This record gives sequence, structure tokens and C-alpha cells, in this order.
Amino acid sequence: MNSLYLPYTLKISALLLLVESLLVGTLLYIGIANHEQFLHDDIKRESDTLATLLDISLAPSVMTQDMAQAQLQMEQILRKERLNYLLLEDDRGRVLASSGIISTAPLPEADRIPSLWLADGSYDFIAPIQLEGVLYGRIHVGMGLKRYQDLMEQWLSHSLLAAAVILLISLGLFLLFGQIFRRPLRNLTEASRRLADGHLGVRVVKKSQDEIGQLTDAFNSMSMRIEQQMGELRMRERRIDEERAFLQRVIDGVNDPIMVIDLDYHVLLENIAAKNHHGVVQGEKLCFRLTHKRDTPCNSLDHPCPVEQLKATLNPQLVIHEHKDQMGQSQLFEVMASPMLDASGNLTGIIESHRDITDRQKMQLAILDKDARIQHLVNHDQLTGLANRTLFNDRLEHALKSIERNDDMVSVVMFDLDRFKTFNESLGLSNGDRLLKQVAERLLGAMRGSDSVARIGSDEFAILLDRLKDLEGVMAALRKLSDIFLKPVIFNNEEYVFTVSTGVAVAPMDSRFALDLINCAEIALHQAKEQESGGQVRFYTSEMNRQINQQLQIESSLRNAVERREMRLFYQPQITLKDGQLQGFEALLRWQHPEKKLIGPDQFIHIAERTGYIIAIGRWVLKEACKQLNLWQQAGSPKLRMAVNLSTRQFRDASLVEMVGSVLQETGINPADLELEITESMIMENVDAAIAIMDELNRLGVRFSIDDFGTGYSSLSYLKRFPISTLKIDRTFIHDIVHDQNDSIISTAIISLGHNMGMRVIAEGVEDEEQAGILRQSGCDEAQGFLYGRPVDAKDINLDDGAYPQNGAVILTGSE
Amino acid sequence: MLLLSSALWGFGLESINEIAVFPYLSPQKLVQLYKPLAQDLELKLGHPVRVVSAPNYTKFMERLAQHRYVLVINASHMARMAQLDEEYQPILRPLTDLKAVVVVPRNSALMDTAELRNAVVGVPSRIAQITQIAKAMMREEGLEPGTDITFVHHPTHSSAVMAVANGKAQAAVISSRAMDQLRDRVGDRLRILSDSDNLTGALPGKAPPVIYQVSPLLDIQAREQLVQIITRFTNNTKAGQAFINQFGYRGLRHLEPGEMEAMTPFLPALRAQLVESGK
Repeated sequence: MNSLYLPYTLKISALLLLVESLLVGTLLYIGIANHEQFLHDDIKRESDTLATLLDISLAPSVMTQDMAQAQLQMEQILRKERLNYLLLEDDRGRVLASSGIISTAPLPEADRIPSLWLADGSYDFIAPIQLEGVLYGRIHVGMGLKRYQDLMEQWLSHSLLAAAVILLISLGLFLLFGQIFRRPLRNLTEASRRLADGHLGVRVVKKSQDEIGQLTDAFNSMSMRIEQQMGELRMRERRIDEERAFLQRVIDGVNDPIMVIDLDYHVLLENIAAKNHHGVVQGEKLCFRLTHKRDTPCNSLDHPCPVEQLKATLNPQLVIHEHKDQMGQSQLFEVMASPMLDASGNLTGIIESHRDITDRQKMQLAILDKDARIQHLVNHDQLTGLANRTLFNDRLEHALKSIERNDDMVSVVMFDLDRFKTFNESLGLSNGDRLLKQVAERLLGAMRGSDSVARIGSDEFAILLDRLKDLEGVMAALRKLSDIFLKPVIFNNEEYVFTVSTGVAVAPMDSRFALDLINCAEIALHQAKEQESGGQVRFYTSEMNRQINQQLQIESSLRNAVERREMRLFYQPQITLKDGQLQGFEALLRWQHPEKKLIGPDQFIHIAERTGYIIAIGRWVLKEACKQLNLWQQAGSPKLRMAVNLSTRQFRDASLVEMVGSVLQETGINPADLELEITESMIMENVDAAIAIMDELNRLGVRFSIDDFGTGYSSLSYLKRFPISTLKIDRTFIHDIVHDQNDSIISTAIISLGHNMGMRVIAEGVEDEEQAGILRQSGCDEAQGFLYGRPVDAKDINLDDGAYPQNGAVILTGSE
Repeated sequence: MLLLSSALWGFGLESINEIAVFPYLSPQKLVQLYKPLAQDLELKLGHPVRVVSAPNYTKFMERLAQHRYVLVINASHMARMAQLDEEYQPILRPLTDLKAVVVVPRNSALMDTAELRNAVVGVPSRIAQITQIAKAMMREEGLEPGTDITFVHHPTHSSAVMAVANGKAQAAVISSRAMDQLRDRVGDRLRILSDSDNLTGALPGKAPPVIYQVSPLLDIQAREQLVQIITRFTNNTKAGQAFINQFGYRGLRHLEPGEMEAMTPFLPALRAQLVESGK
């Protein structure tokens, strides 16, 4: 039987009995040990007494050798003391007398210590017989232990009996008390069981003031409390049921489906509209199955799940869901999901209210469409479809706000058609409208997507240039504007060419306010219109006006500079440092402006780059340089080479390879004598594309040099991938190479780097022999600079005068 | 047989392992008194020597007859008997003599021994030498023991004196040595009425208190060595002096010729008493 089911009082009784048994056992053990020790002591004491007695009694007899007396005394003592035997011997061991010995067997060995439980039941010892310390003999004594053993056994039996009686009485008492104690406990147990069975009125009669009585009180209080609380609970349940029914009636009265969903997507509550909407599915509680007939919760791929959104935000969410009704008809629902929080503010679920917005959505779309049309009408010019002044103003204000947050610029470019009034009067208003439409179309086609184009007057247009970094953006827009009107407009098979007068205002320089900026542009436009010749551009600010006009002038002049043969090439020699021999020339471009002096490339190349004129100019340069090289080679310097610079735009130009190929073919020079100079930035911008272009040109036989090396940010790991034959150390390192140790170290490093990569190294800007000496010492291959010759026209170069050992002399005449 | 073997071979000093003292005191007392001598002999002889005795005078004499003892300290009359009967040789005697004294209470009116007629007189045992001297003394005064005077025998001299001190006897006859030893205890209550110095009969009035004698089996050389050992101890050592003076002997000496013969008058009575005691 499992001890767990034993009565508690029985367990206590058993425990007490066990404890008592241990206690009694311990006491018994101690008693036995003590008693045994006592008996041992008794035996010892008696044996000592006996030894003394024998000594006193027998010593005189032994001394006087009165054996008869000794025998008599021994027999008396044997009897009186109930000894087993006595044997008297003299000091030499001769037997003098004995008593109680009938066997001839030898005497037992003397026991060393007295013990109650000696095997033969006799304590055998030897006592001396002496007088005044003089030994006269010994007495062997056999002291029977039986009476001690009997005493011990008697004591033991009495003790065991007493212990057994005590234990039996205790057992009886424990069982009796157990019964007595169990009774109230049984009553309490029974009452508890009845209480558990729902008999809340059960009470136990208290019969004592002890712990059982206190327990009884506690039980009665508990049952009373439970009864009371159960009553309250039932009442609350009734109230809750009523409230639940009321709530259900309330939400059932709502036409829109309402659902309460827990965080695990289980529908906790829903109204009739919801049930009608998704249909009753027996046993199904998952919201996504009920409403969407799907097996997984909604996700952001189709439409967001309100439960997840609320988990993330804890804020009410409005989502649009598409539901299929029971007929499979698609319906659009606006789902308003509100958080359902517990008392601690923790999200426990959501409350969803659905509203069918299928019709409303359609209606709203229609309204929106209509609104959009109205809005378009309000904000747009009906003739051209461009934004009108209102919308333009709005956009301008918006743009101006954005530049407050950064350093961008906004520009208003306002223009009108010159002589439009005359055109209108001569060809009629309808053609005027057609012209305006064409202008609008051309504008929309030409401007950036971010630019806003508006018609703000009869023939007056405005362009909003947004997020400009510099005036180049304005220039580009003006260029496009100019280009638009370069193409003639055809009416009735006749071409008409128009020019436009343009006024430009720039924020924030001119103003930060929309109306002010428009006014500035209008003022500038008015100024442009005041000019007799059409096609004028005026900026509101005079300095800006000057800069822009100068640039526009350069651009305009540069447009046909090649055709007008205004471009010229100068050549600067490249010399071997070791022996001063001429290796070739670098072709350098100059522009002979018709109204100005010779213009250096730094003043016009960037404009040519921006305008794209560089393509034509570059082709001319390459062709001219190659032709000149051919002339020199034909004239007796066949080993000369020619270095030609490529611009960034040229390098990116898709027709570069083809152009170089055709030039080489046209001029007939050896491609290996042509070295195209590019910069680090050109190739690092798009490494893969640069490698592809260079590889292609390299396959033609053309070589490459890196110009201005050391000023860019070349990646050495990439550098080895390019087919580069020459590095040109930038002149800035050469300029201070004599005085600046860093420049010297960098130059030496570049030379070492180039050599290690199998490249030739040329130092640019060498102006004196000291610089040349350092470079020579550093192992630099070639040099170029004023020390060896300034860039000069080809006609000023005479390769036959013997100035340079290789390939004849070069006479450098003239100067820049 | 023993004598024959003695004649042939003789006992040496190694045979002396006991000092047999005549039983005039309790065994415990005898051991206590003679222990110094036994210890000295042990030391000199190189083997244990202990004091032994006999249950009574008769037994003692019987054992002498059996030659069980080699070295014997005997009463002088018994020594004479052993000498005569068993050839035990006397070797030494104390420097002092033994005599009998008549003791009466200090306030007694008795002034002469003759006045003890009809008195109860305490005496030692019947076999004691003093008892014989006491009888002789009384007879010289005209008092026949058993008729004119009543002898009450006491086991010891002291008990006889204590009987006088306690009023149970009018007088006591004890040895002078015993009186000397008891003087501290009873000297203020008793006084000596007379002594045996002037005894005129066959019995001598004084005698050696004890006689040291040896078995005839002990060879002569050993005997001489033994005498030297004992006398050197008793007469020349502090311990020996202390030992011998506890008896009041002052020392031991060789016997003079005739000294043993002087004891012969004690023998008839002694023999009779021994026979009586042996029954």
C-alpha cells in the first residue's frame, strides 16, 4: 500500500513510535553497556577483595608452612565465596594446597581482565600471597561468573520486557490518540470534499480551541467566504451575460460587420452583419478563413493584416480589404481596426469594423476624376495644356521652400515670342494658337522632368528650373530654349523662324519669394524686350548678366570655331632625360578667337565639353596632330611620336574608337606613334568601361599615358589592369621638387611605380636643370617643360637644325 | 640420611634461603622484624632469602627435627634442645641477656614478690622461657603456681602487662626487654616489683634472648662465612644496628663455652610442654 494513502495520524503515530523505539533502544543499549560495565567493575572489585582476603588469610599459613591451616582456610573461603576452585602454590610454583579441584586437567589460563562473558563462565586469576612485600606464594582463583551473568540476563530480560511494555503502551496510546485526532480531521476532510462538490453551505462544528479548532474556524470562514463569493460570482456572471447579450444586441444592430479578434486571429465576437457577410462556418474561428477564405493570415503582399499592424503600432489602423462575398463577388471594405487593451494597457486583440465601400469607392473615383479635371482646368492653360500662372506660382513657392533646406538654386526663366503680335495679325488668331501649341510641345519635349513649364500670358511662357547647383543649369536651359527656336515653325507650307526674348531671375540671389522672383524675371524680360534685336537674354542681376552673356558669347563663337579654322595646335617636345634626345611632341590646343587674342584651353575646353563641341574639336585635334606627325616623320624623323589629350566627354563618346581608327587611317601614321593622354579621374569613374575602351584602342596599336599622375585617386590594383604605357608626373610635384622633400619622394615613388609596372615615366613642367638633375638621378625616363621648349606652332619647329641629336635638330622659335 | 649426606657433601651458603624464626610473634610481625636481615642475606648471598616460621613451638621443633631449616633463630632453651637432639649448631647470640621482671601497678601496695600470694599473675605461654623463670621466681618466694598463686597465660608479654594495667591481674611476669618496649605505653601506671637477676635455683635468672643456630648439614666453611655476614651486618652496619636494636640486643657475638649448657635446666619442662602442646 502506498504510504501516501495512509492516514495522517497513523503516519504521525508510526513516526512517534519509531522515535520512541529509537529512544528506548538507545536507553536500553546505554543501560546494558552501563550495567555490563558495572558488573565488570563488580567482578574486578570482588576479585581484588578476594585476592586481599586470600592474601591476608593464607600468608601467615604459607609463611609458617601450615598447610593444614591453609587448606582449611581455602575450603572455607571457597565455600563462602562460591568460588570454582583455589590452588595455592609457593613462590616456586609448587602446589601447596588446593580446593575445588577434582580434575587432573591443567588449570585454565588466567584471564587478563575480568569479563562478564568469558567463555568458560569463570574468571580465572592469580593473586600473590605475601607478607610485608615478600612473596610467599600465589593463589589461583576460579571465580564463577554465573551469578553475574544471571544478574545481567535478569536485568536484560527485565529491561527488554519494560521496553516492550512501554512500546506497546505507546503504540496503543498513539493509535488511541490518532483515532481521537483523526475524528475532527476526518470531519474537516469530509466537509472539504462536500465543499468541493459544491455544497457551499457545509460547516464543521468546532469542538476545541487547539490547532484543530483553529483549522475548523479557518475552514468555516473559508467555506463561508467561498459561498459568499460564489454568490457574487453568479451574480456577476448573470450581469456579464446580460451585458454580453446587450453588447451583442448593440453590435447586431450595426449594419457594418464588426469582429473582435485576438492576437492569434481567433474571432472572439462578431455581429450578425459579420456572420451574414462571411457566412456561418461551423467550428471555424480564424478570421482569415472566415473573411478571406484563405489558409494564411493577410500579408503586405495583397493587403495588410490589421492584427499585425496593430501589434506593430498599437494605434488604430484603417486598411482597405477586398473580400469575396458568399456569391464570390468581390467587394471592397474599409476595415477600421482599433486596439483592444487589457487593464495594464497590453494589446490583447483588435476590434474590426468593416464598411463596404465598393460603391463609395466608385463614386469617389468618379468625384476624384471630376475634381482632377476641374483642378486641371483651374491650374492649366486650356490652349497649351501647360501650367498656368496659378499653378506655376504654387510650384515656385514649393521649390523655394525646398532650397531653404539646402544650397540649391531655383531659377525662373520667362520668355515671350518676338513679333508674335505681328504674326497673329498677319496669320490670324488660330495660327497664333497653333504656334503657341507647337511652342508648348517643343518646351515639354526639351525640358527636364523636374522643370515646370507654364504659359503665363498670351505668348508669354515661364520655366521653373528647380534644384540647380550652379548657373550651368540655367545656361543649359537657355541653350535648349535657343535650340527649340532654331528649328523653324511651318505654317501653310511656309517656314517661320522665331526668336524669344528671355528674362531670368535666380533665387536666392535675386529673391527668396515667389512673387518677387517672378517680378524680377518679368523685369529682366522687359529689359530684354527693350533691345532692338530680338533673341536677347537678360538676367535680373547685372553681374550675372555679364557672366552669362560672356559664356553665351563664347559658346556661340565656339560653335563653329573649327569650321572657321580658328583652332590651332601647338607642340611641346618630350626629351629623354638621360641623353637629351627628342622623343616626340605633345599636341596642345589653342583658340584664335576672331575678336580676342589667343585663348588657352582652360578658358574654353570646359565649355566645349559641356556643349558637346569637344567631339568635333577633339576629332580636329587628333587629325591635325596625326597629320603633323606624319609630315615630320616623312620629313626625316620617323621615330617621333605624338601625344594627344583626350577630354572626358571624348573618352565617354561611343564613337571614340571608330573616330581614332578613321583618323589613323586617314593620316596613315603608325598607331604605335600615337599616345592618347587621359587623366586618372577619367578612367576611375567607370573602370570596366574605361578598360573596355582602352583595350579596344590598344588593339588598334594606340598607346595610353596617364596625364597629371599623382593628383587623382588611382587605385593601384586597378591601374595594372589598364593598358597604360606611360605615366606623366604632374607638374605640381616637379615645381618644388628641389626644395620640397615630399615632392621629391612622391616623384621618386611614381617613377619607381611606373618602372615596376613596365611603364615609361615622363615629368611635366621641368623648368630648370636642377629639377632635371634630380629627376635624372631618380631614373625618370623623359621630361617636358620650358627647359626643353615651350609649346609652339608647327611652323616654328625645325627638326633639321641639329639642336637635338635624334632625328635631327629641333629649333624652337616663337613663344606663347 | 641427611646427616650422612651432610657428612659426605655438606650444604653451602646457597642452601640458606630461609630464616626460620621460632613463632614467638605473629607471622606478620616476625617478617616485619627480620626483613632487614633477610634482605641483607639476599644481597650477600645473591638469592632470595625469606623469613619463615611454624604454626607453633611444637611444629617448629618438629621441623627442626626434620632438618627443614638451615638458619634458625630460636629461643635459647629450644636452641639448646635442638643442639642436643638435632645437632643444630649455635653460632651467635645477642650481647644482652633476657631476664624476667615482676610488674605490678604503680600504686600497688605490694612491696615484695612474696606478697603475691593468691594473686592472679599474668605470664606468657607455658612454653616460654620466662614462664619457667617466673615459676622459679615464685617458688623461691614460697609461692607454688596453681596453688598459692594463679598464673594466667597470655599469648604475648604485652597482653600480660595490659591485664595488670587494666586491673585484671595483680601482677605480671614478663621479659625485661618486653617491659622496656612497653614502658612508654604503661610506664606511668606500672612499676617493677622484682626481677630474676638473683634467682638462685637450677634455672638461670637470665639467658640469651635468642640463639642463632644453623643446621648441622651446613658445612663449616659456609657456617663461618654466614657468621661473618650476619655479624658484619648487625654489628658494623647502620641498618644492621637498627635491625638488632629493635630487639634491644645491641649486637651479636659468638657464644661463650657453657652458655648453651646453662640452658639445659629449661629442657625438662620444655620437653614436657612440647609433648603437651603436641597432643
